[in-house]
Amino acid sequence: MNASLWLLPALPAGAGGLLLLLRRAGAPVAIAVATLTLALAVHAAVTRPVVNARLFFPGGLPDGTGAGLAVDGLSAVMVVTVAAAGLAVLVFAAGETRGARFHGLMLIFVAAMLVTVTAQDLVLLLMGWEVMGAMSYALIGYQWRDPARVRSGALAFLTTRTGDLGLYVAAGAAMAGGSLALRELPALAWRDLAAAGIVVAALGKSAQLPFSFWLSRAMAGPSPVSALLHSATMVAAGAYLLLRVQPLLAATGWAASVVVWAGALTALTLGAVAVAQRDLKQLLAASTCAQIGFMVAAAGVPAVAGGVAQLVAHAAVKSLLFLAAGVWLAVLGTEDLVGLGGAGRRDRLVGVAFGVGAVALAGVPPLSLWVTKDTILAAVRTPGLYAVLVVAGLIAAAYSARALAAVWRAGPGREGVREVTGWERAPLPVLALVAAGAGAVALPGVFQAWGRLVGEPRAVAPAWGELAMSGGAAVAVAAVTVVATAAARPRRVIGFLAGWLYLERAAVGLVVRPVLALAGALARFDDRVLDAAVNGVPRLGLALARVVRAPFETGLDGVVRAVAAATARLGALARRPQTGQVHRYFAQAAVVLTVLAVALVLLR
Amino acid sequence: MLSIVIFLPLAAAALLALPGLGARTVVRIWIAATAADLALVAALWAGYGGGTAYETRLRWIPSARAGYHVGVDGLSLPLIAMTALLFLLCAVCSLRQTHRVRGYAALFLFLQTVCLGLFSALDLLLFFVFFDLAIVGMYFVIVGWGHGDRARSALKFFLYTFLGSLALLLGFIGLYLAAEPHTFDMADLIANPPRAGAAVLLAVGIGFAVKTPVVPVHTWLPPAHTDAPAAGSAILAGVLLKMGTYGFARIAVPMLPEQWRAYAWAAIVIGVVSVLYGALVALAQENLKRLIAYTSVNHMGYVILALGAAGLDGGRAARELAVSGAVTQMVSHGLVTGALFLIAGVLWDRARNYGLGEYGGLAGRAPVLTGLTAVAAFASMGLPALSGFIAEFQIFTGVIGAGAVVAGALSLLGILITAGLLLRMIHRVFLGGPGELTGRVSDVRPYELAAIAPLLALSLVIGIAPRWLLDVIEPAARALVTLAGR
Amino acid sequence: MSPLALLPELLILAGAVCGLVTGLFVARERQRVVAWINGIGLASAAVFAATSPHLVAFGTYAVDLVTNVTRLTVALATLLALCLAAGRIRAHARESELYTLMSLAALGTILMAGAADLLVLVAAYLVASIPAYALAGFAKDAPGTEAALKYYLMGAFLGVLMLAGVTLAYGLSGATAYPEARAPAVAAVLLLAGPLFKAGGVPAHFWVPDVAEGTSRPVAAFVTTVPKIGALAALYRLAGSVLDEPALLAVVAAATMTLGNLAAFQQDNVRRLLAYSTIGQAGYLLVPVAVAGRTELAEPALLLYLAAYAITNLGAFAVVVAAGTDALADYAGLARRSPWTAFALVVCLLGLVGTPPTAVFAGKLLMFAAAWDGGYAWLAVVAAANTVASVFYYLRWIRPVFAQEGTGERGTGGVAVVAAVGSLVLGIAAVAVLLGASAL
Repeated sequence: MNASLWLLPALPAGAGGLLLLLRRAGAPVAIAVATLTLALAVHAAVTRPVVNARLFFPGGLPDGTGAGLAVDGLSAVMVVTVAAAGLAVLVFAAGETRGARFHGLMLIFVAAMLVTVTAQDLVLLLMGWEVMGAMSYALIGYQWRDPARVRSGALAFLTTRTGDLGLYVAAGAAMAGGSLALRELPALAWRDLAAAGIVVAALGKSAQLPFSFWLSRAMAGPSPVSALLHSATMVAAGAYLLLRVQPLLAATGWAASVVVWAGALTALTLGAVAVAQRDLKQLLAASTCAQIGFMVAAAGVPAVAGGVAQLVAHAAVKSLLFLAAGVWLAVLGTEDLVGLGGAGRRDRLVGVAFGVGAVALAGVPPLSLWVTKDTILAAVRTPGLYAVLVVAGLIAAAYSARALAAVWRAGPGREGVREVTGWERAPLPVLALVAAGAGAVALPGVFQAWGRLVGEPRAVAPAWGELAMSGGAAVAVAAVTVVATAAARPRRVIGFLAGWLYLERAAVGLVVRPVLALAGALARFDDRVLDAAVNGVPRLGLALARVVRAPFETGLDGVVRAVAAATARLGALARRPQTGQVHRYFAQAAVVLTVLAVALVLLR
Repeated sequence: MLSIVIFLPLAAAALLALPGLGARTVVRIWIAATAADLALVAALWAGYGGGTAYETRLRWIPSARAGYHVGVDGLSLPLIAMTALLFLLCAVCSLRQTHRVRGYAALFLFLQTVCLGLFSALDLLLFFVFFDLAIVGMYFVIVGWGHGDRARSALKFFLYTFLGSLALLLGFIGLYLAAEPHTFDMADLIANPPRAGAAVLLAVGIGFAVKTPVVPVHTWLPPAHTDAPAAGSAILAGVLLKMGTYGFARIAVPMLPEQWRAYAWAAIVIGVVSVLYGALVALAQENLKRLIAYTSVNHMGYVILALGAAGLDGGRAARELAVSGAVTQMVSHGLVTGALFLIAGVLWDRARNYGLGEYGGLAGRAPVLTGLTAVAAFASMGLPALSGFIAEFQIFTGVIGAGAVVAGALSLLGILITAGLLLRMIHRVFLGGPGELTGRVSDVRPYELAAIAPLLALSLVIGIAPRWLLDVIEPAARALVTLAGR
Repeated sequence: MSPLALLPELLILAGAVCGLVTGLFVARERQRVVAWINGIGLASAAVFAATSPHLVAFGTYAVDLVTNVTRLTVALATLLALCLAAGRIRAHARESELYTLMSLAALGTILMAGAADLLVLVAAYLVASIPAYALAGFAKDAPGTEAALKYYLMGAFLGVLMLAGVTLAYGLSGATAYPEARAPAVAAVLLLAGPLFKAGGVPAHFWVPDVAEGTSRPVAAFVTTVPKIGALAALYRLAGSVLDEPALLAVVAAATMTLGNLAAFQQDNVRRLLAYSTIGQAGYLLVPVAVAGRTELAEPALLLYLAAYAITNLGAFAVVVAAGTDALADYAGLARRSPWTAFALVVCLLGLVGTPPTAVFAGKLLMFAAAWDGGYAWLAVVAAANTVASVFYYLRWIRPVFAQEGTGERGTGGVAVVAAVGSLVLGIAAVAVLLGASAL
């Protein structure tokens, strides 16, 4: 029975691989497989299977547990979330006209995330983790004829892979301790190194500061990709990993603080970035960084139960928002906030669904993120941190309100390119329902059970007062924002914020360009110095050879020419070498022998 | 049995000397011989039960304790299998070869015997004979069937690697003279490591370093690859380079354990420099084959790094993991780089150009080729689910776990740069808008697909389910770590 | 002492004398019979040397392993050279003289190898040299005469120096027989002059390219190969007892191989190229001589290398004889015109490089080992570097052979192929023996 757990990632991965090979019937296969996967995920969440499988056996390690796949409470929540989000997005994608390649890549993407969230050890985790990165590259650059999109994919991949290197280091540190199992990490001798590596990897994957910029470029991908990448996969993986290794973070002491502050600052600054965006998808992307920041902070606080609740609720909200944005991009051909004026009123279903998502994102009661965010805040004990997170929450209200206002205000009502298809509409109401109601897990009474489920039995639910206050503040901020959407703002700050803090510019200027310059310089060094030196050796040899040959060749050639000229008389010939060259040979031989003799006498 | 595997290709080459064979017949004989050899190797694998197996020791002189001595173990068997497969696929890839087929096939069959013999040899002299003959064979492949400035490249290849081989010969002589009693037998030398000085390790090290190649003795590699025919490049990168790293693992480490431990830091430094230097220089290349050639320098650097880590005194499990990774990397690199060079050969066949800037947007005209290249590139950059990851994960984890944290962390940058440069190659050649020569490229033909796809499929199999391979490699790695620790 | 111990020498002498006499009575068209007579003399000498080694030493002449191997090698090499010459010189007015002179030169060479007394060495030097001078000028054409003259003048000059060395040695040690005779410092240098001349070593190497180019091709093959064998064996004997100057010999060896190899670079005349290559090979052959008496490996190294060198070098010259041209450019496309000759050329040239499994590889291997074991590791390194350098010019010759186009004659080189195969067989056998002996 346990072995069926392999099927959970293997089914979508295998089907995805086949789709890539065969290139036909993408959408129906994808939906069928995604449905089956969801069923398997639910089944796994209920039965909690464990399969122990070790990939490497160095040092004759015992074939113990702690390697392979397993579904515990946390993983159970994750697999269902991932599979459900995957299904929703794939159903939506069926409404678009994309090739089987797209569906195949999406299935592998989902499979990789499933491996990541069920892995018991660093090897399998890293495998899922990195394949996910590669698939994000392929999906962002799906429209390969456009060099800009392809570059965006590469940028996303390389940035996240930079972070991934941390996981390799962590694996090395774990190896020094003799075990690659995640649960053994807190007891390692080199746990500081391991924690550092894991934190870097998670921040990279979750687009936290200073890696956030890749998520902006990831918007170049098709909307379903954004919807999946921003909700239950990819960015969520970093948050998941930190929540998973929370004991390790706590054990080191410093890592928890680093994580808390990285998350909180990201929530704050990227929230501000979101406010400054003029493009709907960019706004949503920045808001993803900010919202994930809450989960990352939760891993350090620790508020695992709250963090996981936030993750699930955010997955529903964000996939909903991106799908709706995708509809408008496809139908209206724009994602500019100004150009989208009135978009929400065109198709009420899409508009209302987007509205639900945006209101939830704003943290307005009684929708999901209002509660889940407060469950994290409830666990914070540091006043400074608390203040930062509260402000970040209010900023969320501001950007959500901006987006909502933009699509719902009366607008010119652009001409649609095409109609919204049924497949595209189907997942929206479901996602809206979840987005609205997922907060229920944080209700007093339910929350304790939730905490036990995800491995934090002593989770504290927020007090009603706290909830009321934050809800009220969110409503107020949202209202102010809606009213003051057109208010003037200082330009330079806007440029800085709208440009995502110029992080990409900094990365390109400080890392990419120098590396390329170094590469060019080394290549020139290779050609002009190393290789030239190697080529110089035979050249030197040839030059030496000319010197060495001189006594034989120059003289002899002359003699031979002379001999050829004087063909008739042998007598003359007999004299020529005598007068010509042989005496030189004699002289040389005699000189060398003399030198040898003298050297021999002198040296002894 | 093993000797049949080794000399079957040579016998087939002799068969090709029969007069009156047409070009197609020659290629058919070639393919049949290599396929039969691969089948025999598969049988060897199936019957392999650990330790040194299929040993043959011919005794010329009654009192002699050794002679013609061959055998396989967990270090050599994977390389032998990889060699047999690669030669078969090179034969398949040369199905349409029309230019002096007979000599071409005979040379490749000769090279196959030489390569299989080298990996099976358990006598230094036998090893050296094969080592040197490989140089001669490859020289003729490049000079006879290459393109571009082939004469110069081939000469450079010959001179440079021949220099290395003579250093190696001096090192072998040093080992022979240091052993008590004097012997060339590898099993004896490993059992009783000679008390040789650092000079012997230096000579042996130079010999293998040139062949591997590591920075700074790598400059023969790019021109040799660029001007060799596709199958020649595939063999050169896939099999011949392994002779260097295999030599380190088979000869330098177990026969000079004390010296190896004393100079493990040197191997680690050279490994890290090769990794980073190879990757960075590859990043700046404009020629596809030169680019792949420099990634070979990078990939072989990981192997040297891992073998260096075997000489550290960190955790035993970590060192075993590093060595196991090194052997896996040799196999993986053979498969993946072989595939990449065959792909480069397809481009050359169509448009006679390796310039990255001349192509673009090939994904539209050649989707299958694009898919193959993408898989090969991802395998080369160490992506999980492909063989490169299995190898490199073991190497990194082992090296860091053995205590070389800084070296491991620095070399990790290698996989990042490699990822960048391979993606850049894919973008420029296969994606984006069409380039000047795009119109001349058609998709892979069936026989080309049949040559390239199995390599990548095997890489995928190793990447997903590597136990069948690691079960063979790990005991050998364990033994090697024990030997290095004496 | 039994005269039977000298049977090989006597057989060769008998072949030469009978051949000469027969030649006087046989018509010009049928002088080939003289070749047969000389050949039988040489072949029987070889058989005798190979089958019944008389390991005896009498006062002035040693019959030991060195002598026996030299006998065998010289006899077989001369036989090959004879075949080479016989094909080219048919119905020449002085055909029989050529064969006889070859036999006599071979005899002198063997005597040099066996000489265990300085005076015998001088006599053997003359016996080996004088027929060779005549051979060099045999064709009586302008270049041949010039070559003979130079050869003679160099030989006479260096022979005189050697005599001076012998006188000095006798004066200093009061003996000329080997174990007792001593040739310190200046005497050693003077004494070396003669054998170095025959071996073509620095600084007595000047004649080699001129003679190789000027004389007829088969004779060039002979004089660059056979006299070297005896001379190096003689040097080995000297170095093992009379001379105790390993450093001097090592320097001479290094200089010889370096000069020879460097001079061969960019050489477009294949005969001159081969001539320089023989100088380079003489340098390698001097390595075991330098470490004589310091390692057990010196003797097998020298003897194996000598045999390997002789057969391989003759093979290369045989290709030149078969191709009938000296210009490197004329070898373009040889592989298409005459594949077997091309095969022989490639095997012989790669053999001269020292590529396994040819015979020279085995010789070189032992030579390196002898140098290392004898305490001259630097000499092994110099030799290795020189070997790499030599690849450069050998490959310059090999490459055009496989060119697509090219004009030139079809040549059939039976002797070349025999030599090439012989080189391979000897090489494989030697490697096999080495492999087998490696654990002894």
